[in-house]
Amino acid sequence: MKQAFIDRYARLTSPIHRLSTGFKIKFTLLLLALLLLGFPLLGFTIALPGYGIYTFLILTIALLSRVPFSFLLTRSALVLPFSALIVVVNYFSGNLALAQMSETLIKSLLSIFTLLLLTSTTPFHEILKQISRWKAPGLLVIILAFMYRYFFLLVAEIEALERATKMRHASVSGWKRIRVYANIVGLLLIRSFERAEKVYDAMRMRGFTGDLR
Amino acid sequence: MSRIQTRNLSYSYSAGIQALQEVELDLSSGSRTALVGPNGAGKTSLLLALAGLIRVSGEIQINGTLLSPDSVDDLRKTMSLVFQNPDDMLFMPTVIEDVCFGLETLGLNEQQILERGQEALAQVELEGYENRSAHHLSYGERRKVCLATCLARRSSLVLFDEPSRELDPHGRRNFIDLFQQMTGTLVLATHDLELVLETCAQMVLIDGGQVVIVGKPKAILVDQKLMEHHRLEVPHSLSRHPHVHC
Amino acid sequence: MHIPDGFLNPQVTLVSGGISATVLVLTLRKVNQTLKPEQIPLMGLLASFVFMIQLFSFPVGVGTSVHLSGALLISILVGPRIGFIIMTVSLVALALLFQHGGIFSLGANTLNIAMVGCFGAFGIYKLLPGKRLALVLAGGLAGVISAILCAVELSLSGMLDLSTALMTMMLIYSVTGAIEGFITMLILDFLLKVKPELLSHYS
Repeated sequence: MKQAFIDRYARLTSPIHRLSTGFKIKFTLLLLALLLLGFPLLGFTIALPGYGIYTFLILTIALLSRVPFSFLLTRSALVLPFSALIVVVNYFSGNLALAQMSETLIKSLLSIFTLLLLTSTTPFHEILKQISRWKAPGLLVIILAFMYRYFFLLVAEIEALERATKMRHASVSGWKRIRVYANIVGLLLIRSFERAEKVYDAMRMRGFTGDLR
Repeated sequence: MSRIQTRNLSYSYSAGIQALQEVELDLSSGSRTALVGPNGAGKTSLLLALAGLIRVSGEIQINGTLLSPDSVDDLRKTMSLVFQNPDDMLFMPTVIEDVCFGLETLGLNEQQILERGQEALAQVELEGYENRSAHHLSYGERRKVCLATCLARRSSLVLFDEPSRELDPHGRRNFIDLFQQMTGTLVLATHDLELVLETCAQMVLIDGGQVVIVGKPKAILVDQKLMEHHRLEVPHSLSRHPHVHC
Repeated sequence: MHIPDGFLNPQVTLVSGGISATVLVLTLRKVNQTLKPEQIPLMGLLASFVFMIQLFSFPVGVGTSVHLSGALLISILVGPRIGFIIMTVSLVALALLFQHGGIFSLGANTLNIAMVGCFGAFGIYKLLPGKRLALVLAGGLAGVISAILCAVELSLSGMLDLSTALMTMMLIYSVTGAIEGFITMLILDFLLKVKPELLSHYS
């Protein structure tokens, strides 16, 4: 699974990577608010120059950030399946409004691109540190931290399990494969519970009593 | 430094399997002791018991203080446990956060915590790794970060569970070098008998949850009959007597 | 299905965001009152698990694949409140790290997936008699609720017209919901065999 490198460009060096995390988060949210709440209220024709400026701005940022365009574009394409669903449904019910659909698609692509710029120029742990400085609930921050840390181990485990089952169930399909899937998920779940116990022991050894600053 | 005394220590799993049976030990402060025994002998259970992580019957005294639910938090401030699997004890997003986790409970301020963390990383030769993530490190490096978490705490009692397992020869040597520099009472559970010979002045052979014998590694490990009886073997360096007479 | 950014109008975005934020704050407050320290790492590990299974599609042959939201499963294991927090956190991470669902549509996604999956599906499951069939029914019915919410959100935003939206969404969601319930049942069967102590609430 190539997805294992979720914030793989976050450690490059560029003027954008050097900006403070707090500023980047605020700026991203501001941009998104403009795009998703501001422009729609103006209406498409009035907001049109706005979209132009917006696109120019984020393309400039992307260029400065040295994050490969191919990465940003392939990731942005993740909105396409959902868009396709909406288009197909509208097409068959005879309600397809092309102008509106293209506006939606533009908004969608621009917003995913904007968010990608934040996460591929800022390591995830920096984002966590920043939101914790902004007094985000400690429980949410620590869950996010653990999730980020142990996700990679789960990916490795699931890959190993998948390989092992492929070796043994190469020709099985349909109903039996659903069983195999259920067992894999069950096994990962048990391992998560067991690891949680050990991690708790390790935390206790270092003085953890349940306080989340 | 911490002296460890146990009296009549017993423990059984919820399934009813007896993991420890009336274990009596007295490890002097500053001693280096290896716990040796076959799989399932009770080595890990004994370490967990000393760390107060499992509820046992009998008594454990650490430097004269009885280990109890009331005293365990304070006692843990003076001890560390290095887990078998580094992924169980490196749970934070970055190396420095892992090394510094919980140091504030030792009464240190932010500046001191950071200094301790960096010093510990330097000791294990991982300067500059502060903002790396554990999942981007090699296995050997992760084991070193685990050691750094203990070094940062400056514990007077350190418990190691299989510290040399899965390390390559270079990583193992690295561990031995660091281990030799450590002060305090050190207890390690291991199958690596050469490691025992090299690093520990004392060993405890346990099997079936019971202490079989306590003594000098060289004297115990050389006993072939005893070793085989407990699913162990005489280490290579003791089994042959190279004749170097020329 | 995670709604990306751009498909909801400002009104729907703000209202769904407001509802989800309020429920999250109330749930956090409630959970914090009874939280045991050992549950903190468990929530982290389970969030990682849920995050993983939402990404991981498992091919079952003939060009189809299945994947779970995990909401019903987690709620049965650790209760709906903790389950809801875990699900919400995983949705945040999915949006931030994998662009599955947007940031401004997080409110709507929390409503459709986490809230319906944890409180809705689990509630229905608890009300229904029987255990194994109840899971499939609860999954399917919760799927219908999700579908209605999703259809209303999208049609209020002018994306789809309400009746078509309801029909298509209900068709998709009730089937995927029932499949989720069914796979949840298989997973619980497996857990009962291998580690029954995890299922003190389920028997």
